[in-house]
Order: sequence, then C-alpha cells, then structure tokens
Amino acid sequence: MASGSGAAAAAADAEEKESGSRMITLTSNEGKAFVVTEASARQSATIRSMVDDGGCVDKGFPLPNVDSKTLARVIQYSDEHGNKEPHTVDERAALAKFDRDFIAELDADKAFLYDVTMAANYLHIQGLLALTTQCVADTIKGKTPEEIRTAFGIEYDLTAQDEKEIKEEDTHA
Amino acid sequence: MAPGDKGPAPFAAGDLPPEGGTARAGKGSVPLTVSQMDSYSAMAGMGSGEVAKEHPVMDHVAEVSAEDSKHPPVDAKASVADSDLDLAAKASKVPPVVDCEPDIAAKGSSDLAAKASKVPPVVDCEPHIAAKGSSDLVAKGASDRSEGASDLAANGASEPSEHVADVASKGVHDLREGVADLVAKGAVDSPVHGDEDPYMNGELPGEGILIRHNRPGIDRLANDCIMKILQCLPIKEAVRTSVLAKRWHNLWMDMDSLVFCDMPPAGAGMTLEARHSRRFRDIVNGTLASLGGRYINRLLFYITNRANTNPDRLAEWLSIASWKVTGMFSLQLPALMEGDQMVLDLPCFRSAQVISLTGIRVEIRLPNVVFNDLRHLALGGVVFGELGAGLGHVVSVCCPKLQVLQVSNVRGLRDLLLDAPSLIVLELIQVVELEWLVVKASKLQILHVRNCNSLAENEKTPNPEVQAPMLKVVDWQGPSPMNALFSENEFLQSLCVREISSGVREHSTYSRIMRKFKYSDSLTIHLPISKVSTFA
Repeated sequence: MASGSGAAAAAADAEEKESGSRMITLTSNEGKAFVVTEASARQSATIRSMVDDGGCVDKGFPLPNVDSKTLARVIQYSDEHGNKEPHTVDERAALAKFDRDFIAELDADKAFLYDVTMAANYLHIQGLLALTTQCVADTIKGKTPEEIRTAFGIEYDLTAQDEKEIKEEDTHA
Repeated sequence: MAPGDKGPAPFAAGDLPPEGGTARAGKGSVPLTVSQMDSYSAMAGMGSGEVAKEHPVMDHVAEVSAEDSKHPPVDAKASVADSDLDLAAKASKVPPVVDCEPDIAAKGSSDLAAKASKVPPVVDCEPHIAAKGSSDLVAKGASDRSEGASDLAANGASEPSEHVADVASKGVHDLREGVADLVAKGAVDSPVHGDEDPYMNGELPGEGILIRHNRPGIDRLANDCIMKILQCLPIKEAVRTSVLAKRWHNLWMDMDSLVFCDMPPAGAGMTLEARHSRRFRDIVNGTLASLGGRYINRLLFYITNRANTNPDRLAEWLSIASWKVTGMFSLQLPALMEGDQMVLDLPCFRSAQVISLTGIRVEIRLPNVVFNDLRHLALGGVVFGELGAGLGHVVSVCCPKLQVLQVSNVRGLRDLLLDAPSLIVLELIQVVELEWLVVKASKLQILHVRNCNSLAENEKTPNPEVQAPMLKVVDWQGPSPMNALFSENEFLQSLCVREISSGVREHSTYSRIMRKFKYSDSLTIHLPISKVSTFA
C-alpha cells in the first residue's frame, strides 16, 4: 500500500479495505509462525505502521520480544477486535463480554497477565493494553502496601532511611 | 525534554501544526505523527478530535502523514462522519474529525481514545459524552471505593457531573481529550526520571519491552507499563505505591498526568461526602507538595462538590498549577447556583499549552499577561465580569501561539474582536449574548458558530465580520446574521448550516450564510422537522 503519498482519507480507506483480506505472518521469539488477517494484525499500531510503511508483508513480521504462548493469546484478542466490526448493540455487548472473559482468565495467571501487558505495550494494541493495565490497577486498589507487595511479588528493599523520608513526605498527604 | 524520553516534542516552539511535518512519536508511544493539537486544529471540528485518548488524547491519535497534515480539514471530513468504533483502527492516517452529534462524538472519541491512546485519556465527566474508554481514569479516580468494573465507575462518574454536563460542550470535551493525548504523547517535557532507578538506566521507557523472565512478579514490567497502570488508579493510591519498594518510590511522579477528582463514592451521605471533601483537599495539597520542584505534564481537576471550591484554596492550586504545568491544565468546577458568586483570577500560565476551564456561573478574570505557549484555550460556562481583561484582547495580544479557541455557554461576552494570526480553529457555542463578532485571522480554517443568537437578525447589531482567507470549514448553526461579511473565502471545503426550529421565526435564515460562499466541496444542511404548525 502506497503510504506517505498523502492519499485522501477516502482513498486510504478504500485501499485498506482492498488490502484487508491479506494475511500476515507473525513469528514468535520461538520461531513459531502465526498467520492472521491483516485486519487482526492492524489492531497493533506497531504492525500497522510497518505495513503502511510498505513493510515486507510477504515475509512476515518476527516478534523477538513475544513468546508463542503470549502471542497466541494476543492474537485471540486482536482477532476478536479486528475481524469483526460490531455494529449493533448486541454485537458490542458480545465484544464487551469477550473482553471481560478474556481479562478474567488472564487475571487468574498474573505472570501471564504481565507478559500479555508487555506484549500489548510492545505491539501498541491500545485496547488490550487498557484492559490489562486496568486489571492490574484494580488489583492494587484498596490494598495496603504489604498486600500489594504480596499480590505482585514485590521485594521490599527500602532502607530505614528511605522509610523515614517517605514517612516525612507522607505527612503531607 | 530529556533525551531519549517519551519521544520528540511534536511541536517545537513556534511550530504551527498545519505546517508541521511528520513527527513520529518516540518508540514508546503509539505511532503518532502530528500532535494531537494538530489534529485538532487541523480538524476542525474540534469535535471529537484527544482526547482523550489516549489520548488523549485523545484525538485523537491520528497518524497523519506529512502531506495529509498540510490539508487537514479536508481529508478528515470524509472520515469524520462515521466516527465509530473502528475509527481508531482505520483512521491511522486521518485526523479524527469532529463534526458529529454528541452521542456519536462520544462514541467515536472514547473508543478512539481507548484504542489509540497511549495512556488512558482523562475525561471530563459529562454524562452523555464521557464514554467508557476515556472516562475510566477519572471515573475510577473518582470512586476510589468502587470496585473495578469500569462500567460501574463510569456510571458513578456521570452522576455528580451533571451540573456541568450541559455546559461543557462536546467540543470542549473532545478538545480536552485530544489535547490530553497530545500532551500525553510527549508534546511537552515530561518530568525527569529518577536517576537512581536501576530499572530505568540503560533502558528507554518506550523500549522496556523485553520480557524479563528472570524477574518475578510485576517487577518484570517496564516502567512505562507500570506508569500506565498507575494512571488507572485514583491519585492517592498511585502516590501510595511509592512505599512499595525502591523502584516504585518515585515512579508515580513520572506519571504524565495528575488527575484530582472529588467524586464521592456512590451512595455516600453528606457526612461521608464532607469527609471526602476534607480528604480531597489533603490529597491535592499533599500530592502537590510531594512533587517538590517537578513540573507536571497535565494537571486536571474535576471538582463536583461545592465544598471543594473554596476560592482561596482554588487560587492557591491555580497558582501552583500556573508554574508547574507544562502541558495541559484543566479545571472543572461544579455549577454555581443562581445568585451565588465566585471569582477566579486566572494566573499566568507561562508554559501551559492547553488551558480548559469549565464552571457554570463562575466568574473568570483573565490577566493581561502573555501566555507564551498557549495553543488551546477552552472556556465553558464561565462568566466574564467587568473586571479582568477582555477575551478578545487576551487572545489577540497575549496569546501569540493560540491555535484553538473554544468558547461555550459563557456569559458576559458581548463583543469578541479577534486579531489572531495564529488562530486555526474558532468555536463559539451558545454564546448567547454575543452581539458583535469580528475575526481577523489569517490562518483560520475552521469556524463553528452555534446558537449565538444575538449575532443574528437584528439590524441594529453590528455586522459580524470574518476576515479569514484560509477558511475551509464553516459550521453555522442557528439563525444566520443578516449581513455577515466574509472576505475572500468563497471556496470552502465544507459548509454546514443548521436551522434551529425556533417556533417563533417564520422564515428560515440559513440561506443567508450560504450566500456568502460561492463554492464548497461539501454542503450539509440541517433542517428541523417541526410539527405542523397549528398556527399557520
């Protein structure tokens, strides 16, 4: 797709539709290839810009920072959001339900949740990133610092001096 | 801006959007070429441009190619009409547009924000507009006790803000969002990163994507991911993460926006609310104090409780904000009751790029000082009193870089005489007392005038005069003035006229404005479908 040509919005849109049926190969850091529709791949702004910049769609895109398990899950999300265009209220509700179920499943496996978060961040899949970061934030909410450390496996490494400073700052708040 | 930080500043000083070339945001952020503001300005409609979201913001996050950015309004127009779920996905090249009905705008912009913005956009809580995606942040911040479900939070948020709902226009909202995104994207300097952070050294925030399997738990997340998580938290909880561990100590300060929202938890009675209000004050004071000398990219106040509108305290916060904010400052106040009075003296924001003030019946006094970096000014619901500099004067003389001016539902504004060479977008909505409008703006591309009924009809009022040779988009809603003068801009890209059913006027006036232009690429005419008059 000839990008950077300053095509008008309508033209770009048409082009996009035209190319929407292309398939794109994404390769995980373990070398496993995943073939997805371009619409699905375009959920990722990172890939989208590579495609639009005339990237080698045929050769596929290696993703050295994402492992197969994570990529599969990410693709599950982007397929759902990229391949369908919700028009009706019901379709939107179905998509919302998909998101809820999707995140609920991830939430049960925190380590995996972080992997997906990082992949979403790397691939710039904003919807997914918002979903995962919100999920983590919800876990933090209402917890004491100790509970948060436990929940997230954070090692307490503050010195007594640090603590003292924090306490002083805290009196402001 | 620190090198290697969140991306190049979309605007260098003096860099006006339309001419601005493509600037790709840093690696850490969504590919975003033209800043939010650009899309705004470009986009005219100002409608749903940043905002939020992300962004932010949102607005639009549009990726505009260099060429596109030179003709922003046009291309955008086509796509605007259906700002929808997929806008974000599809609009990578199209500046989001604005000109949609409120509900559509809400949808478009919120989804857009949700999908495209780098951080959760901050939203003002207009019930019908604040859509989920963008409102989450605030909504959640607001109801610190409500559990996770974003729907819940969003609902909670909409309730208290009803006062402002009608005032804060869609435009203002979108603006905010768009700009927020813009700012979020790194248009402005962001706070310095902590030096001793072991995780930050050698790793740019945007590149922190290497999966660190050797680190257990959440610490494997890169700083920019954690920042995004903190942005989803109520400010107090975000600040409290500083005690978790060394790495977390100063992390919250790098959040590029601080949002203070006093929405009481749903169902809270008066007592609780009062307590909440005291806490709100303490939280704001404490957080601002903890920031020390740091600057903050975006500082946003959404105040719904009148107990939190002590003028002295607000003045103090405004004063702190005026030198701390490098990106966007937004203050949303609850509506005053008829007869109540509150006067706010706007201090000089020397480095803020966006200022948005909303507060029904709140009297604003503008200072006669220079707002050096101000690109975007949005005023909603406020009253201009006798004292203070006139808006026309401030814009013409004190805001050398102002590109977007949005004024909605204000009172006390009878004449607006603008000589603003940098202005690109002018939006006047429900400025019902406005009788005299003179605009001299050589770069003005987008003009929205809606329901400014005093401009029209009366032969005694001075003729509106618009000297804007670059004008591309005109949206004139409501009665058209008898003798408006438009200079040298007979070729438009888009002309939209809307006739409002007044029930009083017998003759349509919309054709008057149409006669001012010889040619337009697109013409939209909205006619009311009124009931058959029984008086006919």
